[in-house]
Amino acid sequence: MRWFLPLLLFMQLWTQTAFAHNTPIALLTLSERQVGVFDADWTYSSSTIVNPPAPTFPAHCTFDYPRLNCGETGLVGTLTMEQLGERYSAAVVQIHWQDGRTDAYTLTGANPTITLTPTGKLPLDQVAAAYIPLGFEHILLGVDHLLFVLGLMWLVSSTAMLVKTITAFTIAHSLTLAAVTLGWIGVPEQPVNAAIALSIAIVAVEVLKHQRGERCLSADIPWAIAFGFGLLHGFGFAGALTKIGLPQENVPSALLFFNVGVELGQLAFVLVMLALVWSHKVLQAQLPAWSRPATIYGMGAIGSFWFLSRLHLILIGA
Amino acid sequence: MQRKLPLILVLALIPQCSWAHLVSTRFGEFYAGMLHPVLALNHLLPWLALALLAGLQPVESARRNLLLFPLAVATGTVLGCLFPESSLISQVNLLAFFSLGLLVTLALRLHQSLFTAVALVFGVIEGYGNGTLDVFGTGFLLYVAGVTVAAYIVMTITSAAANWISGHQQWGSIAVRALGSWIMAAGILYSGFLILPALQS
Repeated sequence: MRWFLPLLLFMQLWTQTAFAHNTPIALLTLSERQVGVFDADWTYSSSTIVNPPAPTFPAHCTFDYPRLNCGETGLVGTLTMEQLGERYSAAVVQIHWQDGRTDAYTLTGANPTITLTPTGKLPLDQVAAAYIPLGFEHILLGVDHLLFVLGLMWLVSSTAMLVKTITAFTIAHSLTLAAVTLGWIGVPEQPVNAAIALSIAIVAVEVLKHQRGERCLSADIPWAIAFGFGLLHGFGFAGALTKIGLPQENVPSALLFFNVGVELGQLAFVLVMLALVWSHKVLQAQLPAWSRPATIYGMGAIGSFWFLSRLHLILIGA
Repeated sequence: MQRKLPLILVLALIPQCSWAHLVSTRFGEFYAGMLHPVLALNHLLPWLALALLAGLQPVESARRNLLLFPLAVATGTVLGCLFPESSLISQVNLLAFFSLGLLVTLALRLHQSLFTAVALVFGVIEGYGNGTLDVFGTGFLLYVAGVTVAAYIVMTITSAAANWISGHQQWGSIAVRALGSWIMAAGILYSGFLILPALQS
């Protein structure tokens, strides 16, 4: 296997820009200039998108970009963005009211309609419909998070320990996710992403040592490793949630539902992996002996590559 | 009406273009590929039938199928994406739908090479049916990888479950055969839905 290492190192020197996984968001800002009259402004960025989604405002409103006029009735009623889901993960509608109040709403492909109320508070089902899919999407698109979870699964040797480890990871990332989104602490995104990549490489090394039968702390107490690095991964989740934005009147519920989405995605991944392991045992399908260390080396190489690439981005100030 | 039946059957075999639906998941082409066969019953049910049949075969056949079926599906998907003139595919798929369900219902133990041949041919046809024109470049590779991973996951878990149930429970093989008969019945119904418009016209 040693001959493999120089090749991996060489591959890591292959310079390509590596970004954290993208969640394309379109932001529509509506600023109330006089009662019922708004200035609209789109901010959107995505490598594949040239146009923002088209909004449909309540029937009593007239929209001639950039002017939205809802008259004396005001901006209340249903707002829909039908084209969401195909290209954009979500659209955030920020409304700056004349009285200085700001409301933010998130629409997704699964929940392209919201009901605007005078108080700005959304019904719980609308918050759930918007934020559960976003959390689910974020974990499934986050290969770095999934690779880390896979590494954790490799470290544990019993079902009870697996439950304990995954629970510790969940609690830890929920803590930091909540702390960042509620504004208690702030961490710059780029170093967090680099550290998340490094956590994959570290876990890969620990898995390799464990597989070789060497004593390693992370195999003895994998839940502690899961908790420690889980705090880090929570910062990563928070970065995505901060970009999406939280409705000010529904912060706790939106945070809860985003986290529920993340947990559901994580649980689905763990269950599929466990089902595959069980299936291979039933069918007595044994992979060649070299495949296991090769996979672990591959996991470590990917983590190291992402770490170096993300570090490079920090160093060049991108 | 009976005189019309052979004509209708012949009409059903006339080549038509059938376009695969691209599942818009917004999760990217990999997940689009994974969900494409899983979200369409006319793809998923024959896959399940083949997996159940694999579970009823000797374990060596089922094990070999774990590698061969996804490879066959990958080959078919590449062909389907590159040459999407899928004239007879939906008819052949319909035939596979029915015949695989029938084989499960009968709990036939096929010779290993015969079972492998069935799995390979069906895998290429199914992969072809999952081809799409809407993916390019890296997206094409991700899409093919997604369909292949879906084939692997569905085949592995379902055939293991069928093998375990039929080997560990007295009612197990009956349950698997009953599932096969439902798939066969679904195949007949599906054929009916395709033939019905021709009957009405």
